[in-house]
Amino acid sequence: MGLLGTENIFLPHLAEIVSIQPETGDTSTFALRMCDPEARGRFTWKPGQFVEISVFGAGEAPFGFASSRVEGEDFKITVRSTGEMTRALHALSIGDQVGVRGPCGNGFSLDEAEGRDLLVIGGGIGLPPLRPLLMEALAQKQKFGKIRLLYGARTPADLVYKPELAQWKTRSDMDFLVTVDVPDDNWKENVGVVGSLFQKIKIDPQKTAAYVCGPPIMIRFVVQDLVKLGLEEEWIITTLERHMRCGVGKCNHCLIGDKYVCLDGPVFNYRQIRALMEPA
Amino acid sequence: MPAILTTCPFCGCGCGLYLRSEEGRLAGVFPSLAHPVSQGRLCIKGWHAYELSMSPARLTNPLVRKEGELVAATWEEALQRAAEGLQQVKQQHGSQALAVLGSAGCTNEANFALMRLARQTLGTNNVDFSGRLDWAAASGPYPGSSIPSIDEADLILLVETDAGDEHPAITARLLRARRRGTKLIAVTQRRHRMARLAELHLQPSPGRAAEVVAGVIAATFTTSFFTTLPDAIVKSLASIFLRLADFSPEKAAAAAGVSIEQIRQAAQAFVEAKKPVALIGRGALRDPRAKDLISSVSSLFALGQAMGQQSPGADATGGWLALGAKANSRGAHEMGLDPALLTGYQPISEARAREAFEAAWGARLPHQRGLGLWEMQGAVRGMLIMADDSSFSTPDHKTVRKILEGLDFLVVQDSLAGELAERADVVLPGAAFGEEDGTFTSLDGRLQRVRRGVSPPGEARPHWEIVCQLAASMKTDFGFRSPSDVMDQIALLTPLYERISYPSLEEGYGRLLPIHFLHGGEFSVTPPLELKAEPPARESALPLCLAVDFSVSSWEGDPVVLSCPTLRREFSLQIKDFPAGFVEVNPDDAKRLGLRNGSKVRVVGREGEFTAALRISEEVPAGVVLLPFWQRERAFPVLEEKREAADRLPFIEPVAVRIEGA
Amino acid sequence: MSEKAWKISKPSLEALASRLLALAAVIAPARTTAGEVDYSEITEPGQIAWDYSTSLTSLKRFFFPQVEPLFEFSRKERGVSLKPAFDRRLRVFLGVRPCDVTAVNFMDKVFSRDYDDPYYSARRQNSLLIALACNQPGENCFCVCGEGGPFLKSGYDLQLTALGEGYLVEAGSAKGAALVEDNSNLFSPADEKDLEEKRRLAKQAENSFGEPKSYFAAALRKISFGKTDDALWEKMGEVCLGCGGCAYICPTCNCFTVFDHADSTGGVRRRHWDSCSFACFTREASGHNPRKEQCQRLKSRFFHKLAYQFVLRNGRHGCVGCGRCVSVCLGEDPMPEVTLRIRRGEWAS
Repeated sequence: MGLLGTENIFLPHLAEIVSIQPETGDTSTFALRMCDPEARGRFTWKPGQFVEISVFGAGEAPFGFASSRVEGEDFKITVRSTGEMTRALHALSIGDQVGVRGPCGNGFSLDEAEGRDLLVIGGGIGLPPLRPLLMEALAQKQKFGKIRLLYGARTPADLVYKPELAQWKTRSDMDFLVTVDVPDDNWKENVGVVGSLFQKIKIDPQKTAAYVCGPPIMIRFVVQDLVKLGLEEEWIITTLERHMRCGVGKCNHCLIGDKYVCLDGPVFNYRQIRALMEPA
Repeated sequence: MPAILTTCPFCGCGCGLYLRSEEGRLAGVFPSLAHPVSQGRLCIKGWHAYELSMSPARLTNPLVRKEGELVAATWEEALQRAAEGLQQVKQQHGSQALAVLGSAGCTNEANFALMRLARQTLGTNNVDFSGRLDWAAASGPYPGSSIPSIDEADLILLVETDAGDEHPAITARLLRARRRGTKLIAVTQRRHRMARLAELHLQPSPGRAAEVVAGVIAATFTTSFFTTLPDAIVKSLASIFLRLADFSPEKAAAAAGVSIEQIRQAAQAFVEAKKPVALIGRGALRDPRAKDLISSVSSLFALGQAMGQQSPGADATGGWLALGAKANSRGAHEMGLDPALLTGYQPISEARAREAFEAAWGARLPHQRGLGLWEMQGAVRGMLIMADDSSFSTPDHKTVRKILEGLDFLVVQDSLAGELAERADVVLPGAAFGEEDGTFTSLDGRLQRVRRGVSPPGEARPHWEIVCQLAASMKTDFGFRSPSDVMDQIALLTPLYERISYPSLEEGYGRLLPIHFLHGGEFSVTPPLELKAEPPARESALPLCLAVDFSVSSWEGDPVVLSCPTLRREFSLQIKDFPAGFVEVNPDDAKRLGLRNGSKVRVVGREGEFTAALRISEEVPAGVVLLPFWQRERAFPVLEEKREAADRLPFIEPVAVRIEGA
Repeated sequence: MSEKAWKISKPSLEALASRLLALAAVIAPARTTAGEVDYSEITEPGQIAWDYSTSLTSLKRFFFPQVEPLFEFSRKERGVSLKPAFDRRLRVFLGVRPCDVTAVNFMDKVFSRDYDDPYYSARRQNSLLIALACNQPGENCFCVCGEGGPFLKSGYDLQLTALGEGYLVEAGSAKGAALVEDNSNLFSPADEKDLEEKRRLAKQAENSFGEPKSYFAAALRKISFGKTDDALWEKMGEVCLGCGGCAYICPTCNCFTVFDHADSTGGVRRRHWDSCSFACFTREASGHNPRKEQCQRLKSRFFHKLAYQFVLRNGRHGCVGCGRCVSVCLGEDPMPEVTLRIRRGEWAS
């Protein structure tokens, strides 16, 4: 792991936008391709890692990888338009260049979960960082037990990757349950928070590795549910968020206690979170 | 390049800081340790003063409006166009249709040159600056103390001062004074940090601080200390007795909503003090009853002086200090940016002063009072505005907008682009901090050098230079070849600034201007004092009192501050957290109303209503709704602007309101 | 530790300074226009204020400037081109204080651990540090508590000790020894008496600090395990004015933020000093701020400075005892006062 072969950790590589896929009213998925062919070949990342994207002049911000290297050289990020930088990103077109620094952070260690059932739980915009984890798990499904995805959003419109969700529904190698808090007239699936899906599945708590991403409130409740179900603390795995500037453990913005979210995280298990010297 | 010592451009404290530059760019800032005000400290704004030159909104080229669009022009073109436009208005409508606005953020030299251009070149006394509101109540004769004198005080009266946002260097002093055992007595409507740390906090109803101070005076008359004073001294206080004949501590308590016990405690503390100092904050200077409040404070100090307290004198210990808001709020006024005053508070109507200027300038000057900014609507057709900061000071921006809409011709001179520059017919790009030599006059009358460390970018020029060039384009050559020349003339024409010269300012850390008395050498208490016997009016339908609050977040949203990237992040926090604005109430009031923190509410007054988020704070007194001043624009359906009869300056009155969930 | 030691007379030291000026930029304590002493680039040896106590600012800005361009970017059609800039000038730091040298060693670790910061490295690699040991500590100094002086055992290229008419010179690195060898005619060998004298001066200096000003060991223990009452942090937070001066003046604080500055054809990305005491330091784009209150920010700042967890990460705790925060604090929370309160578990002033 490390920054793609540049001697300057602050100098981005350039990547081109190859596609822009709207997901919801304010969220789109950008597929990016490194401009330099040699960099393109060398660039690799783990699920759970993130990348610092620059729109020069507007700024730079961290985004979790939303695709896996097993899917190809191009990488995807799913971005909600909330601030100056993300608005500037949303205003770009296919062919425009952005800056890329990464991969940053520790990522999920899927290998360690070999032999376990995988329970992937996403809420709203929390699904994107889990997606590459799912892709890699499915690509090596023989290594794992049951693979389950639980995904929830506020309304059907807020669900991301809608075409893919439909596809996942039909796969035989994973169980996929989806839910919304507030349905529309066409909604036929579950209604309720993500945690409400737990009663629809039967898990073996001692054999399960759970990966949770979503809004902080959702993570808190889901983690509580998982603890109640009997999962061990080091097998409840999530990602933490903090405001970041450098992504490489120098600027100190992302410190939680003594842990740098950009170096020691963003992936942490619940045991590590409880040991943090500052509330997460 | 070695670091240069200069003066902080933000608040009125006048901290000394060093500016670093590298390769023609500002590269950093650090405080001066030996400086009498900063003493090695700076606030968050001062530490980022180097960012002022980096704003992406810098104006770097003269612009002239051609066929409706602003296009780049040469200086020659722009100055000529500006001169033509202003002179055309003069020809068509007379000098009285022209007006000039200076700035509390510009140097004395730039403001003086601008004032001269207005009076000599354009022939108008319509000269003003929006920051006059933050200083006018204090200007005139007052004993004046100095920031270092806070260290000598044994009692400090804080009258509507801030919590540490507006004048951090002073707050640092207060914290240290407190540790040394100095008594702090706070008279503030908000129970903010300094009020909490003070030994005694009297929390008056909105607009009733004058009554608190008058009550304290009345209460001193009944202290044992007072009854043992020699007759001669008691006789000398006859004028104060007369003024307070009908007033008593009981009346004060009732009118102001504070306890008698507290008034008596304050009085006792005051008579025991030997070297009291009072700090009059922006909240007091902007109060509709500022004149009464200052009069009551000066009466209190006159009383103290008679009782043997250290009188304000050449050593500037004791007395009271008005906390001017910006780096050159005081200097701008003292440079004659006033429709009725020349430099140093010399009235234009006074022949002696006016004739000295006429002799120096070789021109006859208009001697009738001109129009202040708040009287210009409908009367002014052409304007020159330098580094306007009305969004920081002006109560109701609509007033300013209406003036602008009525203009045939507008020249804007500034370092930053903005709304005003967009409307202009000519835009003249000016220097920012660190790019121009000059002086500032701090709130305590410390005249200090501001030094140039780098050149202005692009075609931008120092402000004083632009004004002189504009004057020359209109055939009046001021003969100033440097800011030093300008100061020489200021010193010549202004008794308050006499014997000041740049060489005299090179050594040390500037010069403290002498305390000035307009009426001989005596400490006099002439301003009238009108006291209220009742608390602010409320009605059953409008049981709360909405008041503006100057004491916290004073710099939120200020364009100059926001032009610095780090400060932009810090000083737009509340704007981002509360995009729909907010008002603050006391927890008990919120409970009574059944409203939760963050809920959307309607604030309803007699004249109108506005919506905002509700924030609950223990700092707010019961029965009061506080609105941070930086938000006042949105509250004008409810707020009322009151005009002072004499000089037409607008103040915001507390008004009766009710709050309901929206 | 010194492999070899020499002596140099005052005139020879000035001559050395002249030679250095011909080869590199020389930064030394010098008087500002207002007569205060700060480390600045000199143009002649006479400008060096040899008899100074402390300098207004530390060496931090020479390796990690208050504002620093990272790269320029310029637009070309749909693309962008980037141009980084490094400062690799040769610089000699002459007569700088041990606490400041210790701080540079600390920063070396911080800027090279995990990932190497090339901007820092560029500035650092062509620098020579010639320390001037403190025979007489300054008024606010507490380097003995911060293991930053008054005499250094290592971390310098050369260390000077004022001995009467001249200076003892110790080499702490090959670079330092080479400088002496290249200018051997200016130096004479030091004898055991000189080394004795230096040891005596060092002891005297250490003993002249009086009452301990800072209680690092106690504070470190308490803070590392979260054993300081929140009520105490609240009280300290009340008298913190959030100016960031402590972080900016501190030789070992290194927080920064990054801003893009755009113009019509491109722009520049710069990093600016930042401070964890600022309200929006941890504020996220969503508006959530995990350190909303000043007391939370104060607590986390001192945790970062002192906790054992960071000692592990950075090699030592983050205070060299230079005492500058004592004069820079607008409020009432400089390092010595805070550590005293942490140690006592209650408010003290």
